[in-house]
Amino acid sequence: MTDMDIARFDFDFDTTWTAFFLDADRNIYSRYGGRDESTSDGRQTKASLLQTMREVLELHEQRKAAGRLLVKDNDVHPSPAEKLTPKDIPLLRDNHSGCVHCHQVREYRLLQAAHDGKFSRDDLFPFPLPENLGVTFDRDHGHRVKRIEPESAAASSGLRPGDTILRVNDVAVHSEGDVRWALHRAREDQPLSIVARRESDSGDAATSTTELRPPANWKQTDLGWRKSLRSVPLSLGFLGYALGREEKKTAGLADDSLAIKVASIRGSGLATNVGLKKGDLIIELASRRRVRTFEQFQSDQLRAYQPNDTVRVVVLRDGKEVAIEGPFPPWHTKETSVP
Amino acid sequence: MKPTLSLSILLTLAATSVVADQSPHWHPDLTRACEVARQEQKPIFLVFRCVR
Repeated sequence: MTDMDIARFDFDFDTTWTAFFLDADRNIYSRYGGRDESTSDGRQTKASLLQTMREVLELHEQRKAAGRLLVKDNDVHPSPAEKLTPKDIPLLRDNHSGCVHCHQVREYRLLQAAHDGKFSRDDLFPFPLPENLGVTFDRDHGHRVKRIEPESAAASSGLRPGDTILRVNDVAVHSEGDVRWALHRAREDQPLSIVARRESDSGDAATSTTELRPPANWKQTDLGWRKSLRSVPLSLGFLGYALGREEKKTAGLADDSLAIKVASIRGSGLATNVGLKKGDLIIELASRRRVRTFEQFQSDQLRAYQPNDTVRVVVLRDGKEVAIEGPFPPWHTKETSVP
Repeated sequence: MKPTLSLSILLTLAATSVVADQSPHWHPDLTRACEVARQEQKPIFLVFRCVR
């Protein structure tokens, strides 16, 4: 990764496999890849990869025949004005040696933003899921709609199952990865322009453009699976772990309940703000008690709160439920490097 | 975790007279892959693979 142009080859750097289709001038036809909190490859299928390959090869041949090979136009993804390599991130350049792993690119970007005072909560939630808008794609196709959630933003836009998404804003779409990159680039407070193709029962196809108005916080997804979670500039101020089944049973808790043990208090941060103590068992966060890993618990905090919000938790302390609260700390990290 | 970068020139699906040319050529270097893609007027399949 060290010398790679991460501005042009922008992808979800927490993933372990991503592919690009490009021409000889590095104009990108399509991005393929992406994952969610469930599995690393659940959104990737051989059938959808072949679908994207077929579309890219057909487009490439059309452009060749039309004498438009290597032309920068709407067929290819928008490209950045300037090249950026991992070495251009000062903290990475100054503190890192050896190979740069994909997730470290994102981690150093988070640290750099925090140290530059430019960290934004928006930086937390990259590559939103289309399900956040109410769209589920056919896994064996990639960008054909399989399901529209009733009363969702997608339903209001008029999209229907069977529609094939061809473009989201300024991004040509040949895969779910393209859709997610377009959503990643989109402003959270702006409507999305969607071009879709719909086939009639007679086999005729029509293409139309629709406006999709996303709901609030539509970019938020679970962060628990992301390696980069450890580099988010939040001072937790404690070490903890999720109880296992037997430990929960001993504590009188159901197996599907939240149970985060505070193992130790470390410095200042969220723990001291809220009044957590060593030995506390966190059983509720933001009025929710569903079972979470420690990483999912961290993710839930980031989704529920931001600086100046009042964090509310319920702990088991000396066998009694105690509700405690305190301010979410400002974004801050002392870290300057990534392990 | 060890990241590896793999590159491939994909041959088009269009029929050609030389069957051997239908197989993709893998290149570990993107610059070289772009040169070959330019000469052969083929698209590139670029893979980022990170093994943890």
